[in-house]
Amino acid sequence: MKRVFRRSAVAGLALAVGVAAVAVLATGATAKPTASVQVCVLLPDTKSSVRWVQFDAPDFAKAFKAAGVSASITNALNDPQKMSAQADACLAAGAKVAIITDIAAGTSISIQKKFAKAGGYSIDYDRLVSGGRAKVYVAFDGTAVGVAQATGILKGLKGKTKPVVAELWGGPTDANAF
Amino acid sequence: MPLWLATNAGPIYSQMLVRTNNKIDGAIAANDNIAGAVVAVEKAKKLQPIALSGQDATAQGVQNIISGWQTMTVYKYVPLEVGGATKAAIALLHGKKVPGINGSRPNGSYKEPMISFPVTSITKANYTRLFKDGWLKRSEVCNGQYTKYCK
Repeated sequence: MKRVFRRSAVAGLALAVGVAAVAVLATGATAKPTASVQVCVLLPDTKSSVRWVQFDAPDFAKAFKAAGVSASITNALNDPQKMSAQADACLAAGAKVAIITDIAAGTSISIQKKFAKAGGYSIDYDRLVSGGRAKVYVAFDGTAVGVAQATGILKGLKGKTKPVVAELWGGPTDANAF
Repeated sequence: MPLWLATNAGPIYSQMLVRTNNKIDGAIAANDNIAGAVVAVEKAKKLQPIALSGQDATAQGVQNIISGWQTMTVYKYVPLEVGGATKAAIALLHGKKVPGINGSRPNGSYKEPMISFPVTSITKANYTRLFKDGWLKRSEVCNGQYTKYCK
């Protein structure tokens, strides 16, 4: 049974490759991209910030369209299995680059490996995939966040002697500035 | 320290005030929701505004800034990040060098190349930028008791 299954899977793959090849030939004469997907944008959720729905999704769509690159933009709704399935579908459609905002390192690493195996690449987007091997990490400067906050506080504390500052911080912080 | 939820921040800040006899001059909050919890406690105890920083440039954060209860918020202009990732993806697609790399980040034994973007401090002086950027709608901030503080 297993053997038969494998053979049919291979046949299916060959068919898919054949279709893709035809698509490339059909459009090969022009500079236009093929109908298949080139880039997958795998966004994390809709709840942690309004940005994913209101900014990232529409902005990526606009930017890739302007560049003539076909992109698939999906949101995993904070479900690693969903992200994995979205990545698989995108890879099957011919994508070579995955832009991943991590929700579970194990899932992200497995997606990165699948892309690498297919000759593709991954980009860590806004969150570093711990233990991963992305080509590049694109993010805001985390150190600058702390500096901006500390600078803002210090301005507000001008004139105070021995001020007392409370830290209501989500992670480890450097209190040396105080 | 574990991640703090905004719902926990109020009681924790209240305890800090008890421990210091209400002598707290400033607070660094991880985000605007936590800063909002600090403001609520200060108001409930009829204390004066303190130096208070937040993050995310939310409508509530900006309302607290224009009404004098929060000093600043850290704003991340997402289109910068989108632009960096889009350019990187297109370069990789064409087998070219990724443009704009300006640092690296240790990731285990791997030194991961990084493209990092600066953040912006939002205060009373420049909050209207958020409306121009389309980050917030003026109507989300300038409503009810906050209308009078709006430029």
